[in-house]
Amino acid sequence: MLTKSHIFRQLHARHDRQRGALLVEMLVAFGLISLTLVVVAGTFLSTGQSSRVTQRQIELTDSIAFVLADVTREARVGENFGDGAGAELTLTRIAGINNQAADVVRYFIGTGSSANRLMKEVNGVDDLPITPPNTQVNSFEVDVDDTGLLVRLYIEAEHVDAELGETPVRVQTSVAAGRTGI
Amino acid sequence: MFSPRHASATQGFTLIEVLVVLGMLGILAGMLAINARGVRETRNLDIAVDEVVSTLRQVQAWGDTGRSVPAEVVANGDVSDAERYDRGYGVHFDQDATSILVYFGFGADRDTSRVAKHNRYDPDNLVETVQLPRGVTVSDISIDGVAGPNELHVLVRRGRVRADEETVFLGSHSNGTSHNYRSAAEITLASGSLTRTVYVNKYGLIYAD
Repeated sequence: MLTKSHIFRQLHARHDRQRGALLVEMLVAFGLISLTLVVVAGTFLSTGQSSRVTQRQIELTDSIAFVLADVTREARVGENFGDGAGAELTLTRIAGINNQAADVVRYFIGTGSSANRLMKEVNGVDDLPITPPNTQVNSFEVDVDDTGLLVRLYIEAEHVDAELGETPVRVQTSVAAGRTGI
Repeated sequence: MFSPRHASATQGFTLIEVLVVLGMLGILAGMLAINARGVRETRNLDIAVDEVVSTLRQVQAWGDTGRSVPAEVVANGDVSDAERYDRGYGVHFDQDATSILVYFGFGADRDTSRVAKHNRYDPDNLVETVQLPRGVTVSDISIDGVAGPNELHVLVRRGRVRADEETVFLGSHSNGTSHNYRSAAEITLASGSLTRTVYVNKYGLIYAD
């Protein structure tokens, strides 16, 4: 029953000898709990951290894999490779079911709002990115040998959210023309 | 812990104590429920974005590799046996829809009189309906950076459609204007107040923000 005297009894009970012990107990308990929380939260934070790093690496690798697949496919059905001033790749498509003969394809690093993104254009128009905005392409170097049939590519890219010390992806590869030794 | 020294050991909690505890529990439960709704919306949106991206990649693979039109279409006589590989696969997006549609279609250079039907989604050409998670809708569509179309057809076709294109983007506004053969499209998905956007362009780049 909730009577006046009952409440007063409860209030008086707060002055019990037990209260002091209770305060210490509570402080100890709070201390222990917060200590545990810090340890547990720390574990989760570092797990989240490493999974974000892994996620960034996956995104970066996917972007580069897409670029390499596209460049390789075009090169296999292309000829007349050119490297501009070393920072772009141009080629002419050979006729095929997927190709209009004599289409000129060009890969280069974009400028302005497309800065640090690898671009592709066909016949000098329709330049569009082939890397997502989360991938920052730092370097795209092209070297075509004297025969015009072999291309050496060097691409260096990092994730835009990369933290200090996170390694960028560096890929160096050679692509040979589909039509050789003419 | 509130038991007074002179009270009996079996005394229970007072009404106030019980009410206070219930109140606190109620507040906690309320906070949790609000939080859980946000978490669910976020998760459903992420799942939807993954579904859209993987559906686009699926039709890209089918379109690029020359997958045949479904056998029953050939059996119906709608497509001759020789033509069954001469087509593409596409995804159709409708504004405010809760699902996206996979269809097969033909390139513009095949038969101009049938362009409209064969580049675009048509119920006859439906392959598969991909249901988006609960509460997720296609909220906005933009083509070549211009928002406004209320539908979008992304067709990936083996062989060229126009001299430099692998992917066809077709869209329509509710006022009747059409976009044909554009370069890139963005599809925005909404879940509650959250949105995410999927980008696709004709060179095959697909990503979500």
